[in-house]
Amino acid sequence: MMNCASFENRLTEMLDGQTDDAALDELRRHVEECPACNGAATLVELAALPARERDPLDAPPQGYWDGFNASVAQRLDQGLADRRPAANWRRYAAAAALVVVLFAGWFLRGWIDPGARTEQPPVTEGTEPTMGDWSRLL
Amino acid sequence: MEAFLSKRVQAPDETVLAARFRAGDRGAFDEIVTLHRGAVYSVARRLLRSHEDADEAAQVAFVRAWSSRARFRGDAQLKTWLTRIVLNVSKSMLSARRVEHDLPDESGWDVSGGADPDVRLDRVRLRHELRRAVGGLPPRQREVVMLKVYEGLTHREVAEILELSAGTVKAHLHQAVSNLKRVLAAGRRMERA
Repeated sequence: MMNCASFENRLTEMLDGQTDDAALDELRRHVEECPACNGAATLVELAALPARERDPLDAPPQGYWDGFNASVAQRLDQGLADRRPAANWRRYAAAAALVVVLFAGWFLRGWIDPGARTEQPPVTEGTEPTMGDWSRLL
Repeated sequence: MEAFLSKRVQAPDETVLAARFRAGDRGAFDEIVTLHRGAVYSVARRLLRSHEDADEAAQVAFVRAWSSRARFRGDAQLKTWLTRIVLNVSKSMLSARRVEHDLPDESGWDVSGGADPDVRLDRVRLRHELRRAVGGLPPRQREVVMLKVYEGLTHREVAEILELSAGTVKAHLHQAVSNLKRVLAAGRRMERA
């Protein structure tokens, strides 16, 4: 009698499309004799069928295929038409990105060119610095 | 039934068709839709269950394929490329709509396989049991089972679709069989108890 590991390997091969009547009988015998593999009886019967018959689906409604290509074409044309506004959005996005870059450049110019910073007024001798000026004396 | 028949139709020269498609030839695209719509619909239907959802996913997949035709590499088959697209579209639809795809429903079930009502009922019960078990697998294992066991694709095709190696696909399948066996056995034990 084949062991459970061999059973699983053989069952996988059968489900994989390697049909073999002798092997199928062996799998059926193992399922009957082995309590651990008994639950796999459904899989063994599944393996006995050609792939397309294992879980057949209902055919689509009659005449469905007659209009399928036309529906795809219509959807495609609609989709292409819908893309035009998207192209405009891309232009708006590019313009917005340009504005952000220009603003960032203006904001950062002080770091690149310190001279461009606003000059601080010098502390005049003999006058008491206000609380706000102490920081400049440190 | 054209859905299932068209899957087996082979293009006379898919390389030429793919080149025309990549160049933006709508006629070539229409031919591709005709050739592969059955397979694309079938994958969507298997994941989404209802015809309406599968129809939507299949159409969106083809529109997406057209939009991204420049990204189609000639080294992959059109069929696997399209299957990958429809798989992603279907998964997005599932997560967007929060469909309980692991719970099987009665739609899409072919139960006409036997004249004996008991046999038919038993078949329905087994499929129900199996779908529930497959629905409970981790996503990758579930996708491998769907494409390999139910759709009958080759390892190479499944590997291309899921962008995995063939060895990894085999490992996922083996692990899936092991998990299914365990889950189905537990179900039987509960039934007997």
